[in-house]
Amino acid sequence: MPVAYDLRSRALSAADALPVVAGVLQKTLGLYARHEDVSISQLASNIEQDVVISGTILGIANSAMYGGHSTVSGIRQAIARIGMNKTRNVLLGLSVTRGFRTVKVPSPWSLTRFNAHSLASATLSDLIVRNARSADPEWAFMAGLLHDIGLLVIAVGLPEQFGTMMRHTGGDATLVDQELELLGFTHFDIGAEMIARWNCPVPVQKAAQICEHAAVDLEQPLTLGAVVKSATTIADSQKISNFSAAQHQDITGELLEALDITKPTEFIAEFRSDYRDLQSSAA
Amino acid sequence: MTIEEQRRSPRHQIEAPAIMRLDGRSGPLLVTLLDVSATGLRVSAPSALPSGTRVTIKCNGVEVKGEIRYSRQIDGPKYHIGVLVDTATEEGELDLVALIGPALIPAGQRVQRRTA
Repeated sequence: MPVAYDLRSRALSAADALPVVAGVLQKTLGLYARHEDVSISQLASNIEQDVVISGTILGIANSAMYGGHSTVSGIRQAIARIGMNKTRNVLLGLSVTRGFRTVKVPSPWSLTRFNAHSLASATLSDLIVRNARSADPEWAFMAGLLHDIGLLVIAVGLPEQFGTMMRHTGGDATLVDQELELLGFTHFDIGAEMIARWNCPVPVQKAAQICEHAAVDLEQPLTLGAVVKSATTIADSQKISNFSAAQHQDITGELLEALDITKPTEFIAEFRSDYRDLQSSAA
Repeated sequence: MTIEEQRRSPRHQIEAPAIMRLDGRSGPLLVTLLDVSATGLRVSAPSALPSGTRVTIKCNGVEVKGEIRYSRQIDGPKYHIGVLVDTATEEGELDLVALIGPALIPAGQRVQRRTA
């Protein structure tokens, strides 16, 4: 029987199957750098090279959530309307999920489901940090997007073990227990290692590791890990889950109340609008 | 219900998120319900929590109050907390499995609410 070290090495070698994701991350990270003065022109020139991302940015800028009396038709105007942060998130979300699509995963697991959960968790993480006090808010979208990347690594590197575990799991807590028993490590743990290898910021790595825990403290300011854990729990509650057979209880109301989000209806409406825009372009 | 009866009460394994608030602590916890019996719950927690602390747990549209009976370290910052729930109410004695469980526990395992 392979030992945990061998299994971990095999899983990590699957990273070779994710070069598109790594490349996109490297390119986009520069646009997130805190001290780098990225202008609208620079961001626009990145986006204009991609028809799908350009269309999505324009669509969001002209949507009911952002649209003014006039329709914008240029990328620079669209960025000015929706803001640099949201523009970067769209660019990152669509680029990375497009990279995920190039990866072959064992059936019956669904890459569509994985993409949807990743985008929903990213969108919700960004919304949470805009509505609650938290650490490292600038990395929330990226942390939400990549928190489950270890699942993809295990699916590609250890397909047999992955299939066995996914058939018998109803959620993260039982999956983590099975991973520790069968592999000796968890997908959050190996995901954090991948995120580190890709030179993503430390808070993004730590957030993935914290998601391994079945409980988090919601005292504010929230850690980025607590933000992502809350986001992924809400995504599951909204039936946007990695686990097809799971019976997810809707804890959205209770969780938003615990996060002191005073307008939960508006929060969910904004999530659905943002997520719909991203998901329709990523599909 | 005697302590002996409580021990005999079957536990039903579940996995469901819940919000737990502790008396004397400002921040709530996002926890995972791990199992439920007629009178108690076992939940995950990020740290040890003192026995005797009063707690309120919200899950599946239900709010229950109770008291922490034990706190057990499983691995690193992973703890399991046992909560004895207040089951005596004005309407009679609550059966926690019947209250929280319908959507979480397979139908064949459900226990009905008892009357006082």
